[in-house]
Amino acid sequence: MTVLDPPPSTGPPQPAKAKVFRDPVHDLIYFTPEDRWLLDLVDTKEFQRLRRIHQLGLGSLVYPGAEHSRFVHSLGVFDVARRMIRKLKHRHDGDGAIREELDRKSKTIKAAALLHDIGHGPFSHVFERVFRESEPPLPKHAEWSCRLLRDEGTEIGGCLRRNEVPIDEICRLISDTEVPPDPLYLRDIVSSQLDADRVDYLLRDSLMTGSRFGQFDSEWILNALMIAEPRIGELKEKKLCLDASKGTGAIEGFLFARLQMLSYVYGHKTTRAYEAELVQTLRLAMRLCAQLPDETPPPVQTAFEKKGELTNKEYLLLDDEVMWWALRRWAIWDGGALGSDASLAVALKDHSLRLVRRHQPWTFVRVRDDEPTFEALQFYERLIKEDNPLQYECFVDTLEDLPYKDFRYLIQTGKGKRSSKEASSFGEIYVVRDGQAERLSKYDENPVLLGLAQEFKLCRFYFNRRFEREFKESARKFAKEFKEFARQLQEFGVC
Amino acid sequence: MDTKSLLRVARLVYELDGVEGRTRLQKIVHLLGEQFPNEFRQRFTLHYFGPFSKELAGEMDFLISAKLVAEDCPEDGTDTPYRYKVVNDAAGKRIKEASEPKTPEWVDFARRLNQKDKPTLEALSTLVFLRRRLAPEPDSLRREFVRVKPHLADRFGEAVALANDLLPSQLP
Repeated sequence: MTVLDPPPSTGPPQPAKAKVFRDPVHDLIYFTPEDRWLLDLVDTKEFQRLRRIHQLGLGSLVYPGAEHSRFVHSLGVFDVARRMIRKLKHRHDGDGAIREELDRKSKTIKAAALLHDIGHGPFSHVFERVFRESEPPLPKHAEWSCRLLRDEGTEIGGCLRRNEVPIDEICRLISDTEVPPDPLYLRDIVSSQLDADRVDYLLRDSLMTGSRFGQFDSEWILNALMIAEPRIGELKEKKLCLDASKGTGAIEGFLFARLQMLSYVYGHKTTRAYEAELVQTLRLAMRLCAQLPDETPPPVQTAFEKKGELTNKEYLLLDDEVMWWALRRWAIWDGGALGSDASLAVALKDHSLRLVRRHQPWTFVRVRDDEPTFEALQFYERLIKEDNPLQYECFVDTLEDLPYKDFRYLIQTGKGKRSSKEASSFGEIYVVRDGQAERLSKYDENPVLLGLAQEFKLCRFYFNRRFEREFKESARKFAKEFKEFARQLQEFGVC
Repeated sequence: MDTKSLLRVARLVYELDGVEGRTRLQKIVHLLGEQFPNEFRQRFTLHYFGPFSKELAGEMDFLISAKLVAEDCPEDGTDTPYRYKVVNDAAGKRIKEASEPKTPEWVDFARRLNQKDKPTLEALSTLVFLRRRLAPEPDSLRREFVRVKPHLADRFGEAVALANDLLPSQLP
């Protein structure tokens, strides 16, 4: 037996009892006797690893209270999904077929809600951006989740098999790149524009950051949920919908909360500055991976050597703690005998120290309009092509890089002139009005929703202020090619 | 947002001398991603009109507002598809220089796909999406295909034959 194996059970089996967790968002999270098997999932080493992954990556460098983890968020999503099932059963009390379907699928839905984030890498979404260029493209966190669940060697996969929960069906609920489940509303509960995940992360991130922006009337949204069969093109599929007579105000609040959290918390300029620097720090460490100090934790070393193309076992060894340990080690590395790479080692030390000590974040130029944004991207590519060390001292951060899903479907259909055909997503929000289910984005007489359907674009060129002069010089050098971006960069600091 | 990916999509529009319809573009890029995964890296999810990539839609919006690609929109109420084309010769030259000077390997494949009609592309792309994800049992593949594409059910056999011809590497 290894130290990681669970202890063998002794004595006769005990009757299952309910278990309750205290939670700052939902107050009490119950695991009833019937749900107690889910606690075996919670006890697996893969789920416990989520305690060591912060929900908001580096968000706590800006919002000191945001120390919450993917672990507690996952418990919260389970709780919201469980309450959604209960509300839906109550709402469709007279419909035996739906009640029976919910009873039959509740085990799968709850497991999917609990496990939806099991595949997150260190610092949540930031890690995915480090290996963006890898060939072949690396899986995103939801795809990692499915890989880990399907792996016969993981505790979590073993636990699901022992409890006869269909793993493929769970994957269909948590990853939108899988085949959609039948019926579709099962995925809606776990992964859609109106899912238990969003309900929990908005409330939790808002509470833990202390920002209040993400507050909305979640109980009323749950109360207005129902299942209906909208026509989606040729299909008539059962979808999770909102009763428009009850839920319109609440859904406005929910979408507005998302927009505000996106603008002021997830897109916060300083959080994004540290994330930009972290991505470049890790890319720089990957470049130096053959020369990194011996005390670099082996899982981190392996991740760089294999350019992120890891086995499940290797991936599971990565978490925030091991990454912070690596950063702390690099922060005191003098890079000694590196020869031509010595200046890069100094840069790695400088970046790591700034992250570990939360020293002055990178500054930025807000790039206005799309043409200069494209030029900024090309400018960055040029630095890479020339192997210019400045490439590690800057980052082009576009809103599309934001790790949180946007309002694309709503935005596209809100423009009026655009056809909404292609945007007919299985993940859209549907509302039921006068017995008819239709897409929320069709609900265009609502001025609040139309107001929310404005495109929100942002591009920031982050850079290390210590190299301001060098960046301006480079901009001058490429001024002919990247005219507008070069002008905006050169204007930086000019009042 | 990734410059290489943006330029590759712009290059596709350039090499095909324009693309008729957003659905067509989505399906072509999806199938290119299956054949050339290192070049076309967008993530696709299954929508009513078949595999759809939010990333690709965002890239197209960006290329349009960056004035590299033009989008001819249909008037409201018509079924005329959108048409994408490179804005002008200067933009074409810029795209070509910024991506790669010689003709990329994937261009022939893209041209073959572009010759197909829209329902064929939709059926093929959906079949390929499902085949990659489902156990290799013909029954489950057909069942799922008919579930998500009832209006294309009679094209299932044709889509299988076409997929075997165009994407033999994907065969189980």
